[in-house]
This record gives sequence, structure tokens and C-alpha cells, in this order.
Amino acid sequence: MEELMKILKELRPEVDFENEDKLIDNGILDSFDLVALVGEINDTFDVEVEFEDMEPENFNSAKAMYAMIQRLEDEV
Amino acid sequence: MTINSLSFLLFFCGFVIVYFLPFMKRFQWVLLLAASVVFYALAGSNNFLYIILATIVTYIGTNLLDKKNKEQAEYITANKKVLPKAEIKAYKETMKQKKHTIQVWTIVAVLGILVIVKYGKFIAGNVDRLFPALKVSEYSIFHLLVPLGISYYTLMAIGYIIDVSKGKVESEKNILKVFLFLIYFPQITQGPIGRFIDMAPALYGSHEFSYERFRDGCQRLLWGFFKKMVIADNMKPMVDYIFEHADKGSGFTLFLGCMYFAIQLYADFSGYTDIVKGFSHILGIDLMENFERPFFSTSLAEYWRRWHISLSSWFRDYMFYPVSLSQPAVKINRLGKKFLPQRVSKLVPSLVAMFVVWFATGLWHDASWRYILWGGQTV
Repeated sequence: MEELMKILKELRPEVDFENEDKLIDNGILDSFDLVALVGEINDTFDVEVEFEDMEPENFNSAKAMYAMIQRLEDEV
Repeated sequence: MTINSLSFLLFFCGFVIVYFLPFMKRFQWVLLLAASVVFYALAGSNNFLYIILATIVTYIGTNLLDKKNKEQAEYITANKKVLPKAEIKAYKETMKQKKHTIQVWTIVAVLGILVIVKYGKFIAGNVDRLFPALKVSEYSIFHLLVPLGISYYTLMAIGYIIDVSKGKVESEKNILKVFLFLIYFPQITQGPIGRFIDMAPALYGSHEFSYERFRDGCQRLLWGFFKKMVIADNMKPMVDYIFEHADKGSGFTLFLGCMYFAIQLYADFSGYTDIVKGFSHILGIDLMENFERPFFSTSLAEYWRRWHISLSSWFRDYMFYPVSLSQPAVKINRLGKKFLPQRVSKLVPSLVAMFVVWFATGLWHDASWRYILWGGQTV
């Protein structure tokens, strides 16, 4: 989780990723952010976030992102 | 018959009376389909061939995809504890490939109809310009009349195919219901480009007459009529005059012409959306919002998120993400990381995808170089 928080903070330092749970629904992260984020997640965690995973529920909060990463790690 | 005509208003009033008859409750979706077919014919499109073809292809494709999804789920449930993880993973990969093949061919077939009908003439004209001896334009297949709503229902069908493939939604087993989704009369002419997952429950469900819905729907459609018929239609002659006499006008007049045109376009299109949303709201079916006060945006990116939302979100979800996460984009990104500053390299996959998306958006609006260049310069 720490690594993910580091990526998120680097991407958008002004966002409260600890508490925000509507990052997509409220338009806090846009499509450019998401694509950059996915690139970082793929490289850092050695997983492959695919088009199928690009759903708001997977990116609405840091917690949801981490759950997705764990699921993907589990699939490897 | 257009949505803002008196004949449509009468048609709609008659339809609402029948639609809300107590014994019609179970058949409301059939009534919607019948009204949609009548409207499609009266709106000037006697050619049902393409929309029927698109329906059949979408129906077959989505049901094949759904079958594969269920097959996969059953296999995993039955073997998850018995088989090693690697074997399950290999099975998933095989199924993914199979689904991908079905998805691609279904989309190619649906899109193929649009390409031949809408872009055939444009493509043939350009081929002839390069190779005049071929005379491709003379083939009758490149002179077909573009059927009503094809640009809209094609995108709706593709979105539905992809959502079924992703397992977001189950496929519809009744082909007539798929036909209704694509031809639903308030949205067939100019959208919004609805999503099956959002529309299906209301489209196939039963609805009782609601005074609140009727009141709110009427308010919305009256506001739409005002925007379209009072603002847009009255500005049109002014805008046309300025641009028809562009060589005579001053810079300031031309600037005003541009501003007027922006207002006219917004009032026309958003007014139209208000009208169809109002009509549909009365029937118990809420369509997607298409505009969120775009001229109050604080950046260009925000503006495009608030203008023609159903189209921009469609391109984001079904084209921008697949392209930016595709293998070539990932490779370009990794290459960029080696040679470019970090901030720039992070943007590379998005910029590649943006170029593809805006090229397609331009082409979607019209089969002409003017729109292709418009898409290109917007990037």
C-alpha cells in the first residue's frame, strides 16, 4: 500500500488519497491520470492492468486500487 | 417527421395514452418498438436493412460472448480448488483469445456496415483521386443513402458488445429487445449515445403514469423547444449571412459570427437533447445527460468533458483506454521512459491514444477531410 500511495502522491500531490473514495465519480482523476497511473502500477508491481480492469470501481479509492493490484498479483 | 414538429407532438400524445393504459403495462416495450419503427419510417428512413443487419450481428455476437463468459465462470468454479493456478491461468488466456476473436469480428461487421454506407463514397473518391484509372466511385455500392441514426446506433451497438465481452452485462436473449435498444425513437436521430447497462432495465420494464415525471418531462422538453426553436433557429439566418458574406465583413463581424455560431450550435444540439430527454422521461426512461454547461468550463479539457458527453465518454471508455493500454502504447511508454523526462514520458501513451480518438471523432462527425483535420488539430 505504501508503494501505491507514493505513486499516487507523485502523480497528484494535492489530492487526499487516504480519504477520497470517489476519485473517478467526482472527476478528481482524469483519463490522462489513469493511464499514467496504470503505467506506474504495471512497472512497480509487475502486474498487467488491462482494458477489462478500467472500471470506476477499481480506481475510485486507493483502497480499491490496492485490492485490484492484489487480485492481479494473485492471478500471476 | 422531426422531433420538434407538430406531427411528432401529436404522435407522441397519442402514443402516451396507449402506453399508459393499465392492460398495456406488460407490453410497453413492444409498444416502444412499434412506435420506434413507425417513427423511423416517418422520419424519412424507409431503409431498415442496415439497422436490422446491425441488430442481428450484435445479437449473435453478444450471445456468443455471453456463452463464453458463462462457460469460463462454470469451469473456474468447478476447477478452482482442483487444478493448479497455472492451468486455470492458461485456460483464462485461451478463453480471452476466443472472446477477443468473437468481439473483433462482431465489431468489424457492425462497423463495416457504417464504413461502407457512410464512408464508402468518401473513400472511393479519394482512391479515384490517387488512381483515376480505377474509377472506383462508379460502383453503386459507394452511392448508398446514409440511413437515419447509423452513426449513433453503431456506437451504441459496439459499446454493448464490449460491455458483454468484459462481463459487465449479460447479453439480451430476445432479438427484438436488442432491436429496440438500437432503434428507440427519442434517441435514434441524434442520441444521446446510450449504454445498454443503463438503459435496459427501464427500456424493458413496465412503467405507471406519474404526474411528477410528466410535469418534469414537459418542463425539460419546453426548455429544449425554447433553446432550439427560439434561440438556435433564429440565430441561424444571422450566422449564415455573416459566413456567406465573409469577404465583405470586418474582422469584428467575423469574430461575432464565430461567437454566434458557437451559441447557435449549443442551443440547437443541447436543446434537441433536452427535448428527447423530456419525452423519454415522461415514458419512464431516463437518457444520459449530453451537456453540462460547457461554456462555463475553466479549461479546454473540462470543456470537452462537458460537451456532447455521451460521445466523449464513449470514445474515452471504448477507444482511449483500449488504445492507451494496448501493447504498442505500452512499448512506446517504456521507450519514452528511457529517452524522455519522466513527466513527458508519462503522457506519451495518452497522447498516442488522443491522436487516434480525435481522428476517429473527426471522422465520426462527417466523411470529409475538413472533419479529419478538425480532429487532428484538436489534439
